[in-house]
Amino acid sequence: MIPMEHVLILGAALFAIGMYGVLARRNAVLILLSVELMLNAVNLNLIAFNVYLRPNPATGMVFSVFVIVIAAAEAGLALAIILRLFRNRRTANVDEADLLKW
Amino acid sequence: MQIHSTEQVVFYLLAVVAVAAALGVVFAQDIIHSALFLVVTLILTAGVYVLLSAEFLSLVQVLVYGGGVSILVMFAVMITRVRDARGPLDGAQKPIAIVAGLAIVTVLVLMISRTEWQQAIPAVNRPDESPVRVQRVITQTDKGQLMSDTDAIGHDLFTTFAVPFEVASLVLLVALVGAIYLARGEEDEVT
Amino acid sequence: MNPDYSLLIPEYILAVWAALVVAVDVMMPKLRRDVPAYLAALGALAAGIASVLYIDVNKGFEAIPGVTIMHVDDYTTYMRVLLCGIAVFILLMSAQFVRMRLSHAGEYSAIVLVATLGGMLMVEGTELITSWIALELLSFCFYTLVSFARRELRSNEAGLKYMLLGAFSTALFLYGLSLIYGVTGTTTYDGIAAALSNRGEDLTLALVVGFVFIIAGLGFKVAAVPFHMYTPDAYQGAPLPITAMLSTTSKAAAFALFFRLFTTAFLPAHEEWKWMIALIAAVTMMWGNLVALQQTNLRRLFAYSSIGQVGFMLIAVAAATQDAGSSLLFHMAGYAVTNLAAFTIIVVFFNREGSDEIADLAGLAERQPFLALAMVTALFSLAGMPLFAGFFTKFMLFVSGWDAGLEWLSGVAVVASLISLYYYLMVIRQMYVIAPRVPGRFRTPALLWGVIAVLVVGVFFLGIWPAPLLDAADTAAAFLFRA
Repeated sequence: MIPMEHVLILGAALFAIGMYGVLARRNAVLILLSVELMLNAVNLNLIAFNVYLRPNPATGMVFSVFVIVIAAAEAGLALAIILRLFRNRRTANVDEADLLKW
Repeated sequence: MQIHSTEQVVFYLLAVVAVAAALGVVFAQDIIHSALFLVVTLILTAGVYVLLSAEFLSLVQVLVYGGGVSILVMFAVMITRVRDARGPLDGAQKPIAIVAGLAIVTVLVLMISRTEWQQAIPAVNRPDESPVRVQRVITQTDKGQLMSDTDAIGHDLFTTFAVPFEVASLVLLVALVGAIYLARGEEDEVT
Repeated sequence: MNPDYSLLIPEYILAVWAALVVAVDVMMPKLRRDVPAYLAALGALAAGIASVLYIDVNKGFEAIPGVTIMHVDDYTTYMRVLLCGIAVFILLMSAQFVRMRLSHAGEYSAIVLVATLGGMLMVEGTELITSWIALELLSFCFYTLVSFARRELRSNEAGLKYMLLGAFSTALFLYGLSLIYGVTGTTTYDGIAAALSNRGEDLTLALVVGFVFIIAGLGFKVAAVPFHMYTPDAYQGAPLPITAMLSTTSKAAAFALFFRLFTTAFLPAHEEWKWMIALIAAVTMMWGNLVALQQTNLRRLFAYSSIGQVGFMLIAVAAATQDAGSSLLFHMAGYAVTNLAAFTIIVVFFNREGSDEIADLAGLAERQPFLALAMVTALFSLAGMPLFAGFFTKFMLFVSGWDAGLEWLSGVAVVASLISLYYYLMVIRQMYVIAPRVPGRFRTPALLWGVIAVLVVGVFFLGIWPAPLLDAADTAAAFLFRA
């Protein structure tokens, strides 16, 4: 039997690592990957709470289905914008996109 | 720490490798490696989902991330030729980020371990012994209880959450229109 | 029993109309490029009229018995009408702009409608998943719209920054929601409120951490300091009418969600989050107004001024009383009218001169007295001068904060408000005192002249005779505090 706290701690670790990635990286694709890590941590939390604390109804699991949907859509749209920026400027680094003050 | 079952052994293995791969995502100096590490992390978490008896979600996770998102990222990396980009992949704010990451993980771990999660269970269902254990999700319907998680998710998705489900389809539509509009080359544009 | 689908008619209208606009645009390629925007404005108007029919309706949308995922009440109606009204004006000011500078007018107008739809769902959602997915709908529309001028580097850049930070804030927000779900075991607002009012002692820490994440996530969406970094960039890079929309639709909807979530679901834990929001409010209004002093670009100025306004509106969320609710709704309407007026003027100027630098406004009073005068009205209203809409709405907000025991916060707000007067006066000085750089008068197009005139009259109307709207706001807010 896995203690719930350990699942949550795994989630917390992934979340913090993702947050580090968002703050430290300067490449837009890498920032996006880090956000995916954070969303994954959210899903772990939701599922853990669902199965350990409130097995009826399956709200947490439905919630995580939505999170996965949005995460995938986010990746698609963000990559399209990155592509567009690259076409116009040939860079995918957020701090080289410096027409506007960052 | 006492280890009681194979389940637990598998969980700790998965967790350690997943965290290691996640560190790989944020520390790798090659963008392709990062993307591959992300796929590893996400598939290993899918394994954790199985241990938590969420088989359907673990399948979705593998299909959506292992299949869809990773391919998308690879394409983006290929097209934008990020690998040829000059300069490091990390910004100057890296030290601050390390501090922030460590602070967040400390706060969260403290919060998780200091919280008496038992109290979140309604008093009637609260188990006598600690700690709480995994249960199969169920959903009550007119015809009784749905016992598999796939059944339960399907049922809830199309009854309680039918409206958000429709709204999610609108979100996907907007993302689709936006992505096509933005990514498509223009007639007068050299690509 | 089936849920009452007839509660969502305004939403259906918007969705169908959006599809219609795209279809018309695709079927008739020879159509002038401003027509889709006018067509879409009609749709927003229709949805607004349909929303009015729900006055005094007070009904939950029960997806299954006992689970109310949305609620249509006067609060919803007030915001629905406001959001539709904003959409009408945004589309009217877009028409000429789109014709001159953007392609794909059909998609543009349709996405504006869908964004309004998302905003409406955010307002009426009383369940975390529903509200959050509506928030995502609004955000996705804005990610697309901000980068819509796809050949302009600034727009791409703004879109990218906005999107990445938006995704990050979504992750923070969701982590907070997951903790709330863990503590309360439910996602409906009334379920959460019930669970919070008899929660176990040892859950408080998880709850506080959850609130921190939720406030951070929503802080990004409403652009509160320190989560505001993207705002000036998004405001400057986005197509101009979308900047106006960011400062009105996005703020109004996000605040409506913010207020409903915190006053219905989280009210039993008020002591836990009151200080966080009060703190953020104080920092936001001071920072926004101080940084605004140094801006040279009109859009960045408005970005920081809107950050300052967010600080004022956060007072209401921190106070979380019925009076605060009604003054928040009232302020939102006043702010929307004023900001729309200001942005329509900027659009006219930009269409004509292609510039949005404050310096280029020099001598506007000579070149186009009507625009300059209207701009003065808008700026005085934003600064909160008596006779203009902004005075009364701000005053109500500060008083409600004072009454809720946040005297120091109201004090800070008055100081911040005085600071803001300075940079608004600088713009007025530019228009009236400095000699024009480019000689020659120009005319305002008739339609936009009319739009500006209507909005300016609105600013004065709300400033001089606020009673009708205030009553409406009062009734609307009362619905949140019924239980």
